[in-house]
Amino acid sequence: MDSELEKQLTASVQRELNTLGELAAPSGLAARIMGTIQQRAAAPWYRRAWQTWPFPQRAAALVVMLALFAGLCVGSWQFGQSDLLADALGSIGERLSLVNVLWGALGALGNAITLAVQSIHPLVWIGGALVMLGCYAACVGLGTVCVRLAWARR
Amino acid sequence: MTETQQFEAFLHNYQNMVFSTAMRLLANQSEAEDVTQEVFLRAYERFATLRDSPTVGGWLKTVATNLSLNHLARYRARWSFFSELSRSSDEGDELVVDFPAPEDTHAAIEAADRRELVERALQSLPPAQRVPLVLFHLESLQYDEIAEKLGVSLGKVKTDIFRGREALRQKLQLKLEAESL
Repeated sequence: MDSELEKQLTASVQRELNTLGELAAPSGLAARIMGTIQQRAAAPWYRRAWQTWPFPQRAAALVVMLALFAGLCVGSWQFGQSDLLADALGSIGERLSLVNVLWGALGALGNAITLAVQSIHPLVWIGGALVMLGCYAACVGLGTVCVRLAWARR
Repeated sequence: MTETQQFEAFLHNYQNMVFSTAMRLLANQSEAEDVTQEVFLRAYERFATLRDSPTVGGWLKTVATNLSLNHLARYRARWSFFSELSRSSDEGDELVVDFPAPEDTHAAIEAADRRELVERALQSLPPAQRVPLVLFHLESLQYDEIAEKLGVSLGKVKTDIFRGREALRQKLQLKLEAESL
């Protein structure tokens, strides 16, 4: 289609769409919305969003949160100053030695798997990948067909 | 007048506009109702500032558009992937939508409500064409804004809008001047 025809098409479609007025909302929709609003308003303050809490509760919650944060900061600082930290680090070091043993075993297992993988022909990998890709495409395709069928029946 | 009564009046004033925006983007009544409800629940939270705002209509339209697009985004991967495949089956959809046969189109259009016909033709378009077309022609967004909102390329937006217009032209039997010569 040349640009002149395209301009005419654009203008023609715009003219048609400009004639459209507003669609009437279903008659029960306003009542449903007002009902939901009233239901939410009737809920106790602690079940609503923090911004909608009454001012005293909001202020109290803020103070509690600040106190908790300050306590956490002071506690962390005190913990760093005491011998508890050194004891805790020592005990972690002991446990890490066990982790080192486990890590070594996992490394050996990994090497064995790598060797096994290298011995498999590349075509087998490509074939496997193609089968998986095919399965994925089939799943997506079937899903789309189901959705289209469901929409067609509505 | 209590605040609840004021909001109810506000709701009655704007519900058709919000519902129309959602309905034209989603082409599904129950989903459009859900989006409309969500828009007004958000409006209620900000009613103190929205009540006297001169741009309240624009705010409601923008929220309705964004919520509708968010809803559609869940299915976007599917309709982008199959937008080409679905074209042949879309022709089948035209048969499901009860449009008059070409021979008696003129008489039928004269008899039927033209707007109803346009509305139905618009809603029968596949989402990949309808959504950008509605954003361009009814929400007055530019091509690049539509591409940004939908997260697709500018070229795809232009192509989908062109195909949407072409499909509408066929459904509504629109005549272009150069064709009629």
